[in-house]
Amino acid sequence: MKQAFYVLTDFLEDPDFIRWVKHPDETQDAYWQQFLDAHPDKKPVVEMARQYILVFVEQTGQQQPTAAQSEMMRQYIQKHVQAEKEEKVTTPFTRTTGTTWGWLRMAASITLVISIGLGAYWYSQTQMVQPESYQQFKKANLAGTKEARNDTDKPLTVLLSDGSSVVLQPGSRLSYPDTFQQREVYLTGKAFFEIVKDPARPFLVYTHGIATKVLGTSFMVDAPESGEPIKVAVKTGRVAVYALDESASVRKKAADPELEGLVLTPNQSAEYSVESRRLVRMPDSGWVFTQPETQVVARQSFDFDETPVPEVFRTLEKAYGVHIVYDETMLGKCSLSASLMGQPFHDKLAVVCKALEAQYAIQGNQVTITGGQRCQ
Amino acid sequence: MASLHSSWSNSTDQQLWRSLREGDESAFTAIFERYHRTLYNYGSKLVTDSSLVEDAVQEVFIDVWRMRATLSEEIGSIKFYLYRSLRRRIHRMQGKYQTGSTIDELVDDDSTPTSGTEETTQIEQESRDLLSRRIQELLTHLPKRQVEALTLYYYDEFSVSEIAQLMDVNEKSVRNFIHRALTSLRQNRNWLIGSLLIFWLLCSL
Repeated sequence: MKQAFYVLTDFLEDPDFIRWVKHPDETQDAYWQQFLDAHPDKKPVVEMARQYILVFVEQTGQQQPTAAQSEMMRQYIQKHVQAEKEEKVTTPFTRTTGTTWGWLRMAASITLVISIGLGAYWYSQTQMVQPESYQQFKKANLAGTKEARNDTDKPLTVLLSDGSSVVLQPGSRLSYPDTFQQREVYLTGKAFFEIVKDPARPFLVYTHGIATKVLGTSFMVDAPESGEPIKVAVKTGRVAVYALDESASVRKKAADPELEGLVLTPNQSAEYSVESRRLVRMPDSGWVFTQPETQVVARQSFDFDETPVPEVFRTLEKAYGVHIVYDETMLGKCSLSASLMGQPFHDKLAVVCKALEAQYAIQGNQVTITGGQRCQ
Repeated sequence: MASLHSSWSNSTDQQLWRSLREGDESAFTAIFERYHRTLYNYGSKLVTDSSLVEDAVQEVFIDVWRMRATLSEEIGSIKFYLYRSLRRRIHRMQGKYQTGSTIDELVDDDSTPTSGTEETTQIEQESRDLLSRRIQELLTHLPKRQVEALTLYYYDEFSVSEIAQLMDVNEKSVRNFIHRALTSLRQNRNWLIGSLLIFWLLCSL
């Protein structure tokens, strides 16, 4: 019987022995008992081999995911499965407005935004092919991803669940989650972003080839489907621009506060060549903001000094592509002083209404102002 | 994913696979719950970056769901299928096979392993605790492929022929990986017992 010569390693390498140690049952117990009866001198070796195997199993199986990691993977996959279902029943999207919940959140963030008053202008272009960064975005945010599309010839304002606002130019579209888990959106075309300050949750904007991270600021993106270089220009505030490679972990890299991208400050811009995949800083780009083709909301300083309220509202209407309904006999003669540059649309309205002691409500692209004190 | 269907808990791979191919989401969930932990454990032996392992495990399952209609009808083992997909994906994510070390290991893959017959006659009983620490220590120093083979053999209970297919080497190489790992274990044993004894002496001073 060959087993008579068994030494430690032989036991350790024997699949039958391993199976017995790991999943003992009566048949195997009987077999090995019989073996030990026949070879009582092997008892210590068998016991030792048994210990070794149990320790091997324990030690090689120790790197299981934590419950939190499992949950993250489960959710990520779930999002994907969910999104696949939704893709099959695509609903044409026209416009979105803030939910009650969104309003509450916005209210909480107003004071921060006002005191910081960041603003940035972002100008970029992407190309027609489904870009890999879009795939990354989709993969990460599949649950309830919406697409806002501006098929009109006027600016279209999208209000995001965190209180931030995005003004989409005609022909542009924005993919964004219904409610944010990570604050991440994907843009094709031109848009002006005004982002609620939240250092704990950076806001990431993806276009083809690059991601831009903001902690709370406003900026515009222009990403026509032409394949020309992508341009990012900052008006106020600070953004970090990252070139994306094909690694699936880029999203994590950009979200990592330790990792610095190309940091842009006011009147700086960056240009990203889709072909060479190189990101270059362009100083002195302030001129971008005075160009006539630049969208109103980005050119506008929103600096009001004893400005008549009708003019303030006209400015907001033009910039955000909304219609503001208010009582002219009540508020028509009021005037306002405020510096609202870089604040999300909600916050601008909140500041204006606070000054007028009025309230506002948004429905579709109509803003209704109620209350307020009559000015003489 | 739908919540775990309790009726799947006793199902065979074959039943799960058939339902998955028909687009049954609860079968997909059951497969995920059954295998994702050990799959992640295996991935961690291939690459140390845990976020890369997470990404790869997610992608493997997403692919399974996405490709469900085109998956082959017969599956020997879902586990084997998942492990092979994960290994390929991680290697793709890493870009290139890390040359150097892999080649060094491959060079003498087919050499005959040193005979195990010079087993020491006296078997000392080691405490389970000491043994655990020793093996833990050993695993951090062994070449990656030996650890991979040990994991697949002892923890995941794949056969030598399955491991050979997974690792893309012949069966003899797999036996060598395992045998070499076991041999290093024996060789480092006395040294480790000594160092632990010194540690214990210092502590008790």
